[in-house]
Amino acid sequence: MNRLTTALFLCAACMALSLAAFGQIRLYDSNGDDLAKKTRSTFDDFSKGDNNVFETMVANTLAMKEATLAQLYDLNRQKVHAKVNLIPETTWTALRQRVLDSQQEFVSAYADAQLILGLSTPSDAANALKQEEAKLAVLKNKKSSQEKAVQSEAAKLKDMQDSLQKVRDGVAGAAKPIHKLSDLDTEFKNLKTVWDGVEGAKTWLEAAEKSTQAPGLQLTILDLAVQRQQIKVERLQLELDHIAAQQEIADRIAGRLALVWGNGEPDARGEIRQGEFGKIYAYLEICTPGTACAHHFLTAADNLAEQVMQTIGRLSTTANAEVGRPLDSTLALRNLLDILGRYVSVIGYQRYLLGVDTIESVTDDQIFAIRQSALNAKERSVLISHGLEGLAAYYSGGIKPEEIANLMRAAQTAAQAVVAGKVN
Amino acid sequence: MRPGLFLLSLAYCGWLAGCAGSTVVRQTALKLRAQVVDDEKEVDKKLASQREFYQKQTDTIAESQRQNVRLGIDEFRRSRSASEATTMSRDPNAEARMGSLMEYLLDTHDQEYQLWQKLFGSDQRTREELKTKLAKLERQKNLLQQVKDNLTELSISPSRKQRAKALLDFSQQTYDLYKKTESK
Repeated sequence: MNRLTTALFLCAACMALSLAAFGQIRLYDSNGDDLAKKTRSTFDDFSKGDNNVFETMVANTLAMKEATLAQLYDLNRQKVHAKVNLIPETTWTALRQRVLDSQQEFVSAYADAQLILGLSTPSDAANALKQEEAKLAVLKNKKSSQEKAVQSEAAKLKDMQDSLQKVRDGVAGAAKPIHKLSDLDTEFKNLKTVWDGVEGAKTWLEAAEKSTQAPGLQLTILDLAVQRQQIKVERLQLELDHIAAQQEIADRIAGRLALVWGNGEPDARGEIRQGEFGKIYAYLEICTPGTACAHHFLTAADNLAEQVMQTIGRLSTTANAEVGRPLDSTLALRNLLDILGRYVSVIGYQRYLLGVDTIESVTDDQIFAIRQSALNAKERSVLISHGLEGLAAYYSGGIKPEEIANLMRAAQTAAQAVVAGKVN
Repeated sequence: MRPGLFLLSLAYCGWLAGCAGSTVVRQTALKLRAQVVDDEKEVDKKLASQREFYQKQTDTIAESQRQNVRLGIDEFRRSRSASEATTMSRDPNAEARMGSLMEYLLDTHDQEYQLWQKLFGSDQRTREELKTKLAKLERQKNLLQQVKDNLTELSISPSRKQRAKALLDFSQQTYDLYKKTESK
């Protein structure tokens, strides 16, 4: 009888142990369910829309930019046509005044661009170039220090990732079940050594070490730390990309200003005698033959009163007879056409491109704001998927480690939504 | 005594069966994990090739600018003006006319603009297209990482049979879904 009682007692004990074990692994107990539902509902809110919403926003922004540029180009082309129409009948004296007007229009176009960008407007061409160069210098410094920050944080991230991966591999390859991560002596010691040297990582390590009876939870906590560091690096990289884009545009604008008017310093007549404008002005004044300025088309005072087409006719006719003779009129005609082409490029596409750079800069600001929002959403997703709420509750004593599995499962539901949202 | 021993044996067998089941689950999890690791490598390769492509684009633009292609535009304009001067001087009565001049100026402007765009054009669209591709690949990578994490967890707790089965089923389903969308 006694032996039977002992046997029954042993059997009952076995069953009780089994039940206890099953009780611990149950995925859907009522408390866990409530919490899981709450998390799932948060995820539903998050993933209700298109998962590619940020990419769509970027694509829309770019499409809008291109539509704006197409309109701007058409408008610019119309203006160029109107000005080109006037050239043949214009006298050289009048053309010189038009070039001066275009020079001022270029300064105004740059000032308008600065106004759109919310920057101070320059009073003249020289200040415009100085302002752009100063902006470029600031951006270069900013980019350099940002690069250092990215490198530093990325190195920490790699160390954290590598050490955690070794622990994961150790867990997967372990011959016997792991009850706590410190069971993996070498791998966990390595992780501790690495993480102790990373600012902010120690807190997560301590939190993980507290959960000694739940190695899965330990991994979740450590992984959350890695994910946070990953997002930190991505945020820094995004800021770096933005600075690099700003620098590229500033560089282009500074290059364009230097190309068009050199240092921008005007002479006594207000004419900028450098860059493209300088080259144009150089041919719009009298130059007698035999001096340094070879093959000019305005060689006598009365030439200034000629219409452009009139000079072209004169030079074409004399050039016609220059077969087997020095090419004076032919080269003068070529220079004349060259200068007119240069003038049209300054009032045309060079000015248009100044507008393009401004629109591109504003577009970049918008795109990087969208990318920033995407990163914020990603961070939120990481926090929820790792059941941070659950962890908080766990530390306040209101939840068992196993119940966090419910939160993780809810996170996996969101993962399915990512796939369904056409990942590729 | 006999019924007692029978009950004890039954409980022991049940426990053993549970262990055997868990071992199978663990082995399956490890096998699936190895597949996921392979897929992760593929996604990593795609990420690297996208980044390499963009870097090459950027380098090409930088190289063009280093070679001072503005001189190329000057040469282009000079060649056009020389050609037009030849045309006009060959037959001044027919060619040295308003229409010819305006056509020459507008064509030169448009062609120079095309050349300028080709040599100095912005790479904003290329940059953003790359970022979009990278974002999509990152999402794939994260998904695989999640599946891998679940499978790692299975390796930790082989005795928790029901939970293990749920996680394994879910991992398998998520992974199958990933493969299905990837093959499209």
